Amino acid sequence: MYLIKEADKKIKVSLFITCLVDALFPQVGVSMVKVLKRLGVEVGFPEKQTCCGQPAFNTGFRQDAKLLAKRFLSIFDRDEFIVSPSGSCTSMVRVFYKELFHDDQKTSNMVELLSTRTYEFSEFLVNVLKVDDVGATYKGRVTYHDSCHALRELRIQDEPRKLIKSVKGIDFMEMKSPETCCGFGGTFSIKFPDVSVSILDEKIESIIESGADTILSTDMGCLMHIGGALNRMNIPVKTMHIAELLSNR
Amino acid sequence: MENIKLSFEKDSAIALKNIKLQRALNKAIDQFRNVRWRAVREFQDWEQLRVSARRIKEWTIDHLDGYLEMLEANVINAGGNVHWASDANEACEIILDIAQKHKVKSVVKSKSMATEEIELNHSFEGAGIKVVETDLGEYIIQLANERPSHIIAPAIHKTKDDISKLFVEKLNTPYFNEPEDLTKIAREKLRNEFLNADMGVSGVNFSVAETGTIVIVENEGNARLTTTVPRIHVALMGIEKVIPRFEDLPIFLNILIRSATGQKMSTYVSLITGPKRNSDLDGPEEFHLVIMDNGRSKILSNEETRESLYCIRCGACLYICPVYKKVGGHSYGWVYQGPIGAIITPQLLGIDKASDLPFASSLCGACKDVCPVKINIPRVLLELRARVINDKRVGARFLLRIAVKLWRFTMENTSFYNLALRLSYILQKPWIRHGRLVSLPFPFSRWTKKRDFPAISKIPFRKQWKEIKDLEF
Amino acid sequence: MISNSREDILKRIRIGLHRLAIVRGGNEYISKASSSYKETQQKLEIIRRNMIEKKSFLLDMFMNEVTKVNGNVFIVKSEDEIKHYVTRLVEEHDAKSLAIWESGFLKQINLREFLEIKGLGFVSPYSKEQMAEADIGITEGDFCIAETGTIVLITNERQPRSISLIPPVHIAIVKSDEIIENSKDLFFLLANTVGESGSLKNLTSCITFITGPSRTGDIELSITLGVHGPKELHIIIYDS
Ligand code: SF4
Repeated sequence: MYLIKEADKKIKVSLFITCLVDALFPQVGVSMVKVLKRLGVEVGFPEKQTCCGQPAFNTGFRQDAKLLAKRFLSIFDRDEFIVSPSGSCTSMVRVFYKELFHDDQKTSNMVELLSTRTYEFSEFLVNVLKVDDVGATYKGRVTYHDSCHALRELRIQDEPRKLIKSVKGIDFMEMKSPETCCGFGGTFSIKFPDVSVSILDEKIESIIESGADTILSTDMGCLMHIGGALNRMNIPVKTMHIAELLSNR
Repeated sequence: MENIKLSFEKDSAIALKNIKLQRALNKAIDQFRNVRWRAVREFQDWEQLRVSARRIKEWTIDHLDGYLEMLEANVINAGGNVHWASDANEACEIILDIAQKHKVKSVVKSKSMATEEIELNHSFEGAGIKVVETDLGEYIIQLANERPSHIIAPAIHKTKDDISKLFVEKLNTPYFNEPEDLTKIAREKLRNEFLNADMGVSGVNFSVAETGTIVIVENEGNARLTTTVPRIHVALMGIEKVIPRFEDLPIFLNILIRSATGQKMSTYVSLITGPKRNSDLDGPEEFHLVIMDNGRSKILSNEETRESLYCIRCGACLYICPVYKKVGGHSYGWVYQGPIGAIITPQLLGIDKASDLPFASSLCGACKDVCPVKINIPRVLLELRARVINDKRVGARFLLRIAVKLWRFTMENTSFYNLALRLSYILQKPWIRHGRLVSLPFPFSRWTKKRDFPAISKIPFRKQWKEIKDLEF
Repeated sequence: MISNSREDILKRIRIGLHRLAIVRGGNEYISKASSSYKETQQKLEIIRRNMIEKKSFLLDMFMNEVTKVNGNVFIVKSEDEIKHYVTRLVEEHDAKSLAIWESGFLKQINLREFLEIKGLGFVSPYSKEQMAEADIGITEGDFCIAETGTIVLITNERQPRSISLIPPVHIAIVKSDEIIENSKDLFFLLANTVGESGSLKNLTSCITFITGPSRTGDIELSITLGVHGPKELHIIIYDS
């Protein structure tokens, strides 16, 4: 296991916890804190944070999204890494804020700076801290679902897999088409529930086929969607955020 | 066209219930994804090819007026005629006019999205001119009086049994259930149509400004027959189809064909420059190229969505799209379907006519990764969503607006946010079963009908943080 | 009513691009991209040399690809062998009526006369009704693309289009030194050799690429051959 040496300047991280994790899955945040602290990272949590504005942006309410984005910019203004347990929310900040402010030079510049220090949790571990093995153990057969935004906006694909494969005692297997969307899509899941669910059904099938007892991802959005169907259908497969896995000893 | 109002929600519900369609889509799409994947992987410089194609498209659209004039001059120089149509009506009038001047009684057509877009067949039929679709898939669709469900494979939603029955009913043939036999019947029937037709109407995959050449890509040979046998050949193209140079063609043929069908090269590629020359032994005596705008210049005028015009109609985004895979082509309500339909239709028909479509996507982004000209479809969808929200004509958004404002207001203020968390935690109690929410009131019922929702946690992370922030683990 | 659509459309484009006047991007791009006369000749030279030096490699690749797309290929070493294969195909199909190009090489080997002596009739592409009766169409290929198994047919006064299209069987005779590696090289070659003095000016009315027999997957995606064009494609490669 890799530990940041005392002599090294301590790496400082501001948690960007996302409203979903804050309200529905606080254990994911706690796990993240554990993993980061164990690696010798100094963790902070800007308490004024709420939502990055993605739901508004995705539904076309750009003005509202802008207000929340600006608020986000003012809260995360300290010169630290920003790390989030979500590929989707990280994409919002790193990719879509630029889109949102493309005609506003001043804010654009701020976004540019911010986006260079904003990371999704698994890529932060692997690409910034250069850690594959965080010393976790897990008994179980797991498979991994690529969240769309993590995969296609941030190109995170190998990072979580490296981390998962380094967990002691784990039995990892790919499912069929791990990169296919689970049908969540934020408000899409409510606007067109039947389409959303039929896409989800295919994902559930792949998960069952893989034989895994645990389904992992970088995003609680996807896992909430997948888990919602697993629960409803009484399928004994656990959903687990990658941070939860990595904090397990 | 003025009265159209598309409803993705209604149409997709019908598609989802159609078990036959679901099976056909599954089979077609899985097969296609594999073949295409191979065709792309075996090409060494695929990424480079995409970049080149994209650059050429950007350049061409940025200089479109010049290239169209160049194309026109070169077509005329080759002995062809060029017509310009501002909209669908004018395009139909022009083509009908050519037909009537030559006393055309019967027309054969090869597959073309543009002619579907302007509903050319209606115009011909209205004028008492017989018109026959000759692409096998389109022929089947025409017999069944339906609309194509895929850009490349218009009849993928039909089984061979459907087609056999259709032939028995419409062509008075015995019931054959093998694709082989059905194809043979179609060949014979259509041969006669070709020999009797006075005019052939085709689309255009690319046109080359530098030479005045139109390029048609196909596998069946019906486009070759359409452009060779009848006396008159009329080709209809949207203004965005032009490319500058003859030497740009291998790039575009490669990306189109490999993306569209997974082949390395389609069976036939025809590079047609003008009508038959005097000394030629066959070919059409007259060649007419109709260059149509029909809303495209409006798309071009908006820099945010201009890239929609780079589309080469390969259909790859349809096949990769998880939504299309479930709902099929008809749910998109118009000629253009899948992700490209979701961005093109609202722009061509008007955002108020298809306000559902930009939302008919989970924004998973698979389309932008597969698109050979790198159109960032999710980005365009998001832009169009914003336009829908700002469009006064799109009604019934009052409650949504209020809800969003309230939500934003809460999110802007940490103490309101905390209060909201607390309130939701208390209010959710009546709906909790085994620690989960299983049936919520509207609109959340749209989630809980088939999926559980996690309960809001008693101690949100921000409270737990206070306890753990100074701990060592 | 005279339509102003041409001007309207061009104007809308210019306004859309925030311009007032036409920018002749066209010529600029074309001249920027095309190289000097000397460079072009050098590039052509390389392509041609490749065609000769890598001949057997290209031949293999070409044959392999043609077979993959359901075409048939034969290699022959002499003119007699060409006649032999054509006769065999005629007999196999019990063909009575043929259509043939009056092109250079076919004339040179007197293929038509040879077949006429055998009692076969020929129809003229002038008449589409007659063409519809032909059992086999015989053409040359002007070029081949190895990477894709494609033959390229250039229409002109002796090389009509319908002979490779209307009869149910198409025989194409190509020479082994006409095989080019890929479509990029082919287009470069075409761009600098066809048209008036190799300048792409006044192209012929049609250039056709043919890769295998006519096919469709429109019924349940099962591949069926011969839907509109020929059901069979036979390519005889003359490798002297
Ligand atoms: S948007 Fe791209 S992938 Fe879709 S049809 Fe057009 S070119 Fe093909």
